Amino acid sequence: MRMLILSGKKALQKQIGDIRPLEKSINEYIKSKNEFQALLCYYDMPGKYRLKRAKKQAEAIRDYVLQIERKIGEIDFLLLLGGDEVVPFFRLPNPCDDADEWVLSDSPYASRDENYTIPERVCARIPDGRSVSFMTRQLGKEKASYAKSFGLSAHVWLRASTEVYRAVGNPEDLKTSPPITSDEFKPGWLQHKDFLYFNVHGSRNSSSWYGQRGNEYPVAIQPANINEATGVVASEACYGAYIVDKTIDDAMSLTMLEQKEIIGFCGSTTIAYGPVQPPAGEADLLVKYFFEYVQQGLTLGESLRNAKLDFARKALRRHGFLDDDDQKTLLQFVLYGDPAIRGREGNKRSPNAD
Amino acid sequence: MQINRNRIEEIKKKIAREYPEFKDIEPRITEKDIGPQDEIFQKLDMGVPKQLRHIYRLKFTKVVEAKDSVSLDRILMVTLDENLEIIKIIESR
Repeated sequence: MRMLILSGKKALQKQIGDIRPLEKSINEYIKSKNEFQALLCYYDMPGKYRLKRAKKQAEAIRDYVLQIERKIGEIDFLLLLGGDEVVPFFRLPNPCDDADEWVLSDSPYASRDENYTIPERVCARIPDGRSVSFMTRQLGKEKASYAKSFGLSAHVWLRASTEVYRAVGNPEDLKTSPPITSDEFKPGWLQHKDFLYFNVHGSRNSSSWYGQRGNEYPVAIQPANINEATGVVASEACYGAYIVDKTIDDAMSLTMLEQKEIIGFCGSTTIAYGPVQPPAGEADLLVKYFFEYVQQGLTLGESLRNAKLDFARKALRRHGFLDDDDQKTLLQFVLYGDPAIRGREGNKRSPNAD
Repeated sequence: MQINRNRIEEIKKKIAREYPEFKDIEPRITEKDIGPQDEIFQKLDMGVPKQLRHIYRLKFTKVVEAKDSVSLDRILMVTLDENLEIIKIIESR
């Protein structure tokens, strides 16, 4: 399998300063990934393929990836290094009638054609967090096994969350907010776990995630509640993966990734949707499929790609079409972290979804 | 089939009963034709249905204040098929 690790050198230097420690980590990472032919390219530097340098624009960077692919053959895994200031998210037209002007998305980077909802390759991103140590840490993570999971749901979505959480944990262990609030949240709940699941409210303007019962919206969890958390994280919170102009301390996703044993974060860049009760749909269904593939032993990157393919097929079989919110769900969910890491030992093959 | 006031009132009553936080909110109603989406079906190696679909959307929105005074946009969307049957109800997360 081929992996392209892609970044913009100048923008990266601007974000994290001296990039030599990161380049050293990337070299070690490439050497450690025996199953991959991996290479690092900067879209803004001359490289061995003599491609025209790309501007720091999502469309141009995607074209650069397609040009590399024409030189070396199909790229199976694409790993973007840096946040929006280094490798910009695509700003796609929002299919839904809601407050998001755009859908921030990495989906076009995962697609070879213009139909961005359906991915053809794995794509993940290691945000910069404005810190070189934050980035290098993501490349050296290893998975420990604990055989336990943690789940937190807004009280109002307990039934819907139960169907998702069943993929990785005992539904009876699923916590709800309320009664759980950040004041009583125990960091130990997130320690020594394989999977962390959150089905809660989120806001672009807050680093906290919120519960709900009726008209009560308590703070369920905030970055200060996270200490030595472990495992694979999936969050359905609106803006759970929104990182534009955010620091490690004011985005839950980045705070999670800062943890030594959090190996990946799957979440939404914008307003996400889901049902109140089963059957699972939208964000619930996507996260459920993601967890199931991780459980089977696929890499995190393959798990999200396959989850999106299965999600689309399910929606088409159910209704005969992808509606606005199905499309938004497919575009808005991103993966942060090493896409080649596995959340569970087991299946080492890389099957496509079927 | 066109959506009428009676059907809208039925749905509003259902929403008020099952999702009381959206009671008394007047929904924004939209409708849309959805073409066959051939490219998506082909990309997924699925047979392409040829029929045109028509859906209606009732969108209920409100802004709430969380415990820490942060404003949260709340959206509930009801999707109806061409026979005015509910095919899904979803909420913003």
